[in-house]
Amino acid sequence: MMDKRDLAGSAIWVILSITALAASLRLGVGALRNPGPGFIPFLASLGLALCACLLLAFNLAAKKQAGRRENGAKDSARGNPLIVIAVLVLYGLALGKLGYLLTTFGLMMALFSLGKMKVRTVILGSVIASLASYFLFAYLLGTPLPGGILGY
Amino acid sequence: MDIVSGLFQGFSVALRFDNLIVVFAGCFLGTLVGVLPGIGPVGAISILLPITFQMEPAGAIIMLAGIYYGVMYAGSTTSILINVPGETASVVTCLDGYQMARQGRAGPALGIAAFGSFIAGTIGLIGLQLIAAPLSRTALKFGPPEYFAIMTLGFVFMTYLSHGSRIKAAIMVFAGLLLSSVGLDPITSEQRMTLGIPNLFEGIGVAPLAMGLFGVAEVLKNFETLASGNVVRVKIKNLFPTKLDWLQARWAIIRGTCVGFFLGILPGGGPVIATFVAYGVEKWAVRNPDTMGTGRIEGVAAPESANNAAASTSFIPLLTLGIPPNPVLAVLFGAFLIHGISPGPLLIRDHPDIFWGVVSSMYLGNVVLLILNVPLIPLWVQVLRIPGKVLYPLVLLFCVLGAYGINNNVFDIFVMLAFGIAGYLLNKKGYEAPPLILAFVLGPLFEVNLRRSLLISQGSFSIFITRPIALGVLICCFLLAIVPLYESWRRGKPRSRRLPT
Repeated sequence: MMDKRDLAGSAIWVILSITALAASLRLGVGALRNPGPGFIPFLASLGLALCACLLLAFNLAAKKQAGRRENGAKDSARGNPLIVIAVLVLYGLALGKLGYLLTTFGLMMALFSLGKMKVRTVILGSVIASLASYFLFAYLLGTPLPGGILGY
Repeated sequence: MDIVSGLFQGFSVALRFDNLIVVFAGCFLGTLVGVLPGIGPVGAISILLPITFQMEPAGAIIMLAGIYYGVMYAGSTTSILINVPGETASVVTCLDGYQMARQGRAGPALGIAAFGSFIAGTIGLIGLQLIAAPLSRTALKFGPPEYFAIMTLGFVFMTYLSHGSRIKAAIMVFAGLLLSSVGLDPITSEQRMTLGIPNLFEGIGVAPLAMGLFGVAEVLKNFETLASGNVVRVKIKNLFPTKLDWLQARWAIIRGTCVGFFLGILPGGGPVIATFVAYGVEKWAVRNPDTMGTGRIEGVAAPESANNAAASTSFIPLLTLGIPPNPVLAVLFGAFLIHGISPGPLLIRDHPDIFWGVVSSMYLGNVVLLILNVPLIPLWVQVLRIPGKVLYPLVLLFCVLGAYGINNNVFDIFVMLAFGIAGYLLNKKGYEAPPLILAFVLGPLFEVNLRRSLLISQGSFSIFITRPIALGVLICCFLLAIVPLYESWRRGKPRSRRLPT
């Protein structure tokens, strides 16, 4: 069981809006007859701050509500989004250095592996996905994909 | 140029072999996306946007528009067959559609959804071509205050009609406005909120943002349940509705079309809202409202007609005023700009080939979609058998390639990923992404028109009161903002005891 109120989320919005408010003031709000570059960011962050404070107030005033965890996700799969994010960060960092084909093969290996498929299927699927996407984007659509150390 | 000669020119563009191919490709991809639960039209259009970079502007817009109304056609398939909406505009179709399928009437449900969509889509198109030209001429008289008022109405409507908490929807609108101010100031060209990162000097791209919020966020969510997907097994027969089905559904189709037609035009409206309203109207109009939700064909015909009529008429504000009324068209608006074309009152005059080409292609697209969605429905059912563990890694690969392909820059992949993570977390906490993307796309226009209005009036807000159109629209905004507060006051229940909805 967990608390359904979103106190942390509301607080983050409040902090973000105050930061944006300060940044917009630094940019210069200007006058009404000549609004400056910070005018719209100021209005937007002010609106954000008001709504965030309102949300925080509602959440604080609300009784603690116990809510069930979302159904559907198996505990073993709960970490999958984190793994996907980590793999994508690594992919972005390696793409320029190792080239498209090699990094995409690695990416697809990692992603297909999360589906608990047979190793042979994972390897074959990754090879096909990398080569087919390379053919589609590099040859048919003319996207210059990074070559890296292998040159493709 | 009158409508007839415009249509002649439009069909001469749409019937070119290359454009026929893109009409078919757009409808095919739209149907595919509509059939597959998860990736909606915003995600699909943003993911496929880079593919259109090499195309002519008319062909590119024709294809992206085809994806949009293709999704509207096909979204009902999974709603009816497995009670899982292919996209948000088909959520209501689940209520009666799935019940019909359980009673062995999946065929007529799918059939009436397709025929209703065809009729409503075509009526919407006729409305589009009749209204667009006069509205464009009227829009030429609009100044910054009118544009500012219409965009404000869009934001207020989006917040008012959100599915969840209105405060959270408002937060998303303000966050979208803030994000849209990253980059150069549109009037003084000063740098704003770029954190000194050179890649942000030109602002955040709409495509990586949309791909992240809609594509990557959805994939991350689906990766949580990757191994537990069930393979769909259904049999479909008698796709053509009987005479009795037609008799029962005819008024529902007409009512749904009317609702969709008008809600599609409103800024902040669109197909999703139209389906809910159409279902509500149907419940009010039928003899035994309690039987709605038990497998009545009207419950399928009305929302499916409404979302297709709305999909057609939502092009009216985009093409005539240059104001996208919903998030899908906000991304399409971005596509117009990427191809160097500004949608708005001058589009018909300056680019008649594109305007009439797109309108005419939609007539062809409606026919293509009828073929794709009636005789070929068993083929789409096979698509439902693709397991998520194969599909979602491929969608993610397309997102990565799409983000990279915009500027051939890895930075865009990181932008997309950042918004993907944000979208995933926001979704978990009950925040909706559509208000953010609409505010993000409209933000620069909103800013320019507000600042210009204030410059013209030398800082006086009276400019919004002395101009009747601006005043009328702003009064609507005020009323829409006041109604929820009045409702909660009338109920007399202290909302502070409950979490805000």
